[in-house]
Amino acid sequence: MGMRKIKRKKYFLNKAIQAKYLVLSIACLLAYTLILLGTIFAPYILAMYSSAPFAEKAVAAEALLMLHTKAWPGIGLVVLLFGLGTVFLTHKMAGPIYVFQMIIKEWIKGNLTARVRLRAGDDLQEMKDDLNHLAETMECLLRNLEGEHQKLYRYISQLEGALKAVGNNPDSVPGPDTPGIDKESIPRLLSNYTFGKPPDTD
Amino acid sequence: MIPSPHNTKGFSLMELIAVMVIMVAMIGFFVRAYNSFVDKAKLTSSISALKTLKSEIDNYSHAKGSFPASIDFNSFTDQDGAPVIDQTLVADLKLRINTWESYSSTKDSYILQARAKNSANALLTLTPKDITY
Repeated sequence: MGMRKIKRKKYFLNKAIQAKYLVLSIACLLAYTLILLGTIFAPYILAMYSSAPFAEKAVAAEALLMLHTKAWPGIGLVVLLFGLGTVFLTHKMAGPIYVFQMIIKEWIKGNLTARVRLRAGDDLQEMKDDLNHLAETMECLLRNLEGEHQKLYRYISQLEGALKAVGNNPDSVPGPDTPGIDKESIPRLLSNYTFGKPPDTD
Repeated sequence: MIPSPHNTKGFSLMELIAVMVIMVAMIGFFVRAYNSFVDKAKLTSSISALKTLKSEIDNYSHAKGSFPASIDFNSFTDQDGAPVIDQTLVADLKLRINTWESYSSTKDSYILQARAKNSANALLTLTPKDITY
């Protein structure tokens, strides 16, 4: 079976995981924003509620209103950019996971020649190497098994031929000297033979 | 078969609820507090605008010998079309006051009423002595 390259074009590959980290990162970002804004706004808020002269309170109020007008569009933009950044960042993880899932499906189908290929910037490169190593080992084992199967098949065919020859011409070849088995029982033994099941000797 | 040690399908319901509750509580608390601060700032700014206006009316009174009989709140001119305040302040005053309600005067006093820009649009009353709301 040929190797098929699995391409990724979408950025939302594993929606559940990526959405989870998107929500978590936006939550963290909001928390940081609240702390940062608290730090920036606090002096003006404290000045407004203090017993300072009214002129100072008015200056603080104007500064607070100026920040209120100017800060939020910037903060909204930052949150939006970080949200998009999270999708890109989680894509570096979700992308490899998606490829692993696809490759494992290929292996389940029996295509052990399929190999994991990740992009240069993707994470989980070590896992990719481990999975490819696993596939190589499994492929090698399967090839050995197939070789052994072929050998066994040849031996059994030869044995079958020899036994048939013995059955057709009992005088030309000496019969098996196993106690309890005579020449007439050989065709019955052969008809009973299947892989994985020993011949019926009863 | 080795069982999967974790659920990898994103949030569990409890995680989702916990995150949402914390986020909503934080945002709700912040928004309420923040709105009250901004409201207070808007009220302070409106009072400050009236203080500026008071100072300008006092200057007018010293110059003309009496308070303006009426004020056109679009141009801040008196009954004769003469400016009551420095015209560079007009735009700033309009920006910091929601609506101008009324103005009346006597020889020795006046009452000007305006609505502040806070959420309750507090009615501010300016007299030569004080600003009340």
